[in-house]
Amino acid sequence: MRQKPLLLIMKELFTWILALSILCPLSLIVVNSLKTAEDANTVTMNLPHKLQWINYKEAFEGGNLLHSFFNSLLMSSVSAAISILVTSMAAFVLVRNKDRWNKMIYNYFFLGLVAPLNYVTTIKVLQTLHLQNTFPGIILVFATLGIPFAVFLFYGFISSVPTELDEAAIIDGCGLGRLFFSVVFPLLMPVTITGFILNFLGAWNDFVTPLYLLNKQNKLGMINAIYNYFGVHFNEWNMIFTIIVLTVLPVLVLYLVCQKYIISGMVSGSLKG
Amino acid sequence: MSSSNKNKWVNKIFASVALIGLLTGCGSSESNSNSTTTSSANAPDSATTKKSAVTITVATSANWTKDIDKELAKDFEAQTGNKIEFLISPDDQYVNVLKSKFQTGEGPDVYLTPSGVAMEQFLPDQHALDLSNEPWVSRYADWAKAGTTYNGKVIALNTWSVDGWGVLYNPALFEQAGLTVPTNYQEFVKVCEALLAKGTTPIYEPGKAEWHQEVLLNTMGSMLSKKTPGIYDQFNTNQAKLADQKDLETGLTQLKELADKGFFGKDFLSQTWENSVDAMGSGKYAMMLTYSTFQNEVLAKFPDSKADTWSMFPLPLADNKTWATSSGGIVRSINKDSKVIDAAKQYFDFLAKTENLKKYYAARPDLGPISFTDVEGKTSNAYTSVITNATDGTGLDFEGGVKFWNQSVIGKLVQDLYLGGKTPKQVLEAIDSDRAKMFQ
Amino acid sequence: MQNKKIYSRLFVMPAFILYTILFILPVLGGLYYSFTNWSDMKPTISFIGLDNYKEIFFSSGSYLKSIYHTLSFTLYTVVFKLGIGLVLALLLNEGLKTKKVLRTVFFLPYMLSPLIIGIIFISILGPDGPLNMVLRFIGLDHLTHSWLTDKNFVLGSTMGVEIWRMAGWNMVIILAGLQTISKSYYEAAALDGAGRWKQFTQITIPFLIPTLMIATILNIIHGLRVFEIIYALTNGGPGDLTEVINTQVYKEFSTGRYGMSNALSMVAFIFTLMIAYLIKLVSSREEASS
Repeated sequence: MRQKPLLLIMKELFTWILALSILCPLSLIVVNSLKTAEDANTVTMNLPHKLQWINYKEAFEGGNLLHSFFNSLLMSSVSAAISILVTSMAAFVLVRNKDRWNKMIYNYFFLGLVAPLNYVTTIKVLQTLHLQNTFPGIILVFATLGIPFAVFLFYGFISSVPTELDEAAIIDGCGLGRLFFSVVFPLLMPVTITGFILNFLGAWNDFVTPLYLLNKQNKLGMINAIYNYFGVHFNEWNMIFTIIVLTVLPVLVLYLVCQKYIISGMVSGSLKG
Repeated sequence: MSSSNKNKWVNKIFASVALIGLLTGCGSSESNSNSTTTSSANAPDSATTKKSAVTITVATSANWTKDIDKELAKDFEAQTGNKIEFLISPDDQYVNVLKSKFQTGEGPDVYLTPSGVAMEQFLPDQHALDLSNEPWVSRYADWAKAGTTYNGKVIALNTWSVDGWGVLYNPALFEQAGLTVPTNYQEFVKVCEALLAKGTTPIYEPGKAEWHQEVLLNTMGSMLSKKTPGIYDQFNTNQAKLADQKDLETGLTQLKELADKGFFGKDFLSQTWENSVDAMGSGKYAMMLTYSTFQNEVLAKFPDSKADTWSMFPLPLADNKTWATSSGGIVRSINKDSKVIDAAKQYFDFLAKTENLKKYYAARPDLGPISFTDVEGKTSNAYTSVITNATDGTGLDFEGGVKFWNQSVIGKLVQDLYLGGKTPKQVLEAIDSDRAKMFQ
Repeated sequence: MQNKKIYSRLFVMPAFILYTILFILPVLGGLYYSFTNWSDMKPTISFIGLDNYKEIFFSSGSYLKSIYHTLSFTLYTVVFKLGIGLVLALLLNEGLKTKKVLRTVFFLPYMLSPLIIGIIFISILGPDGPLNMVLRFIGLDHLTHSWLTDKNFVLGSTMGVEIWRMAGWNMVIILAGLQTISKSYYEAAALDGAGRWKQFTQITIPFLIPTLMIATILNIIHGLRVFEIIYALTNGGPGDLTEVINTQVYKEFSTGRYGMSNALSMVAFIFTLMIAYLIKLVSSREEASS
């Protein structure tokens, strides 16, 4: 498309002005996390008089962050892995064999995008399975919560994977297991990464579910652990913002590293759904 | 200990992943059975190593457990080897989380609850252990015992304080303006008008805090129960309605008038409770509805404010001249179904020791009168002055005496009153219908 | 086509079982309880049929109001999320040099927990917060409001924050839809002398319809399920001005009226299901006719 360069520059400038509406609020957090409690009391864009790195030191030491960071990492990544594994398998079969039953199963998974989770009954189910208050329990719940959207993603993506490959593999004598894991699954990489990350984020950002399902302090993830420690100081805006920065940072790094996949996978998945 | 724990759950995860593999017919059955056996073999192992010392879980709302509580928990740990583990929920999640845990039999060993009738929300018949025979009960102050008694049994340990809500003001500021303590609503309005004319916002009202809006109504409880003895019992058996109480309607009408006249300032609905110490310390506001030890907090942050000289009078809505006090703040109960009842009792004994009480109260300048008779209390200037100014005496507030008194529901209704969404009568009717549901 | 027998349903089972046990079972439990008077003030739970539902729809209480708020929240946010998302996508599709950076920036809010976004915007939208400071600075004093407490603006403000959070997400999806449209169509149209507007309405929009449909369904689901962002910003207040279905569910739950709480969340569920189904029906019919 041919366009006047001036017009293009104007458009670029305009879009950046719009982008400021995203960047300004976010920079507000960082700026205020470096202030003293007094200064941050009225939240403003003014720069801090003196950078208060001590806020970070305090949050890091007091919140026992390393331990809870690994808890979060464990819960988020294992649940995302389980969720991705089971949904990619399911979606593969649902796409390839669209008989009446499988169509119904697909709609059955779709219900999960809409239906309300009930914590009390969830606890009761976990108790029956002897999984209440355990890592496996909460990991399976996080994995399950991610299933509906992941089915949706994989279903769309797999629809675009040509069936010729399947046919060749079947002629070579592959069973379903080998066909899927050594032929098809590697092709799903973009959407797998997307699904993994969205699931990971869901678990990482979930503050409420662990309140109900985990009774043990040494098992809490980062958000909950920090909250536990700082609950009392929760009216100091500088500490609130420090905590936000610390919990968002790992997510942000993950996002920046994998953003190509997140966006492309989400798109290819949802377009064909 | 933690590494052996880790092994245990890593095995469990493996087991469950392998289980899924088994279901699909893909997993190798050999490794699968292996990991399950290791995990079950590990389990009794770690259970026996833990047996010597126990962990007591204490469920609390974030604001109810302070640094001093954690410090004392550490001391207790050092003395007995038993560990205290606080399960902290945000203030607005606490009731939900605790109730769902009780519902599913996952209750903590110790739980914190507001005293008085509010203890009933956690079903003491089912969950609270009878503590009547504990040694510290004999040293209880009368109000502390009354506020933790349910059906004739003491069911909680109180290390909080009895207090009430009144209007804190700066006498120097009043003197400069030639004002005296108002004794009825009309005088109160005149005081506010005079202050406003001098450019001072008369009252700091944290309108964003729903619960503080409820407190405004709460202060009229003692007046009502003095005028109509037995009214609380009638409320608690659902025989009386708030909407039929003329005084409450008058009080709410006047409250709306105070807001409309600008005595709370322009954007008071976005003012927060957290900012109240700064607001009062800044000198921009002349009065505030707060508790009697609030001035200590202002003084600590603003040493030049002379906040220790500030005084207090009852909020004269509907010409109220009584001071409504609480049933004793936040208290601790032991879960009947706890497996570590003895250790929990030991923890309570520890907290109730004279030296620990002294340490605790010294770290809590926000607490006034002390719940045990053998520790000397401190009273603020506000406390002594509000007792003098409350010419009709003191009495229990709504929160402490009326069941199903829901702070959040009532607070939102009062906000609705300011916004013109409901008339005073409709606010009271809505509270009635909310309470009626609980009696169904 | 090959024999489909190889695609054994066994492969679906792990996800199916996990999802049935840990999701559907609890939901069914919730459905059952919605027909009971389960409350923690009562020793027994008894079946009361549709009484909870009757109370929701026929009592003068605030339930209907919260349903109304939820629906209008959904309507406005869906329109604006899609509209702004479309504008952003079109801008980025023009071959901007910094396209990738911009895309990253606009998608960023979606990565953050709504609770955290709520905390940030409470301070931004306060009467003396940064937003009003900016308005005053550029001389628009009369536009300043107490965004989260003024009864005329509070619901709109919560919508605004939600739109802020999700516009970039819509942009990404629409952008991908745009990229599936072959350039040759535009070139052919340009040869025929079609102007930019005509190209937009006759090529871009028709090809985008499937993408927009999917985005609409997902946006509607997000809208009807709204909870965390409102919970963090206003908790349904002041008064009941921003009370939505899920904040009411939460409120009933915290007063221990579990039966009613479940009935309300079922109402939200049924609404969402109906609307999603309706759109699916319409879109599949359109696909068939085109």
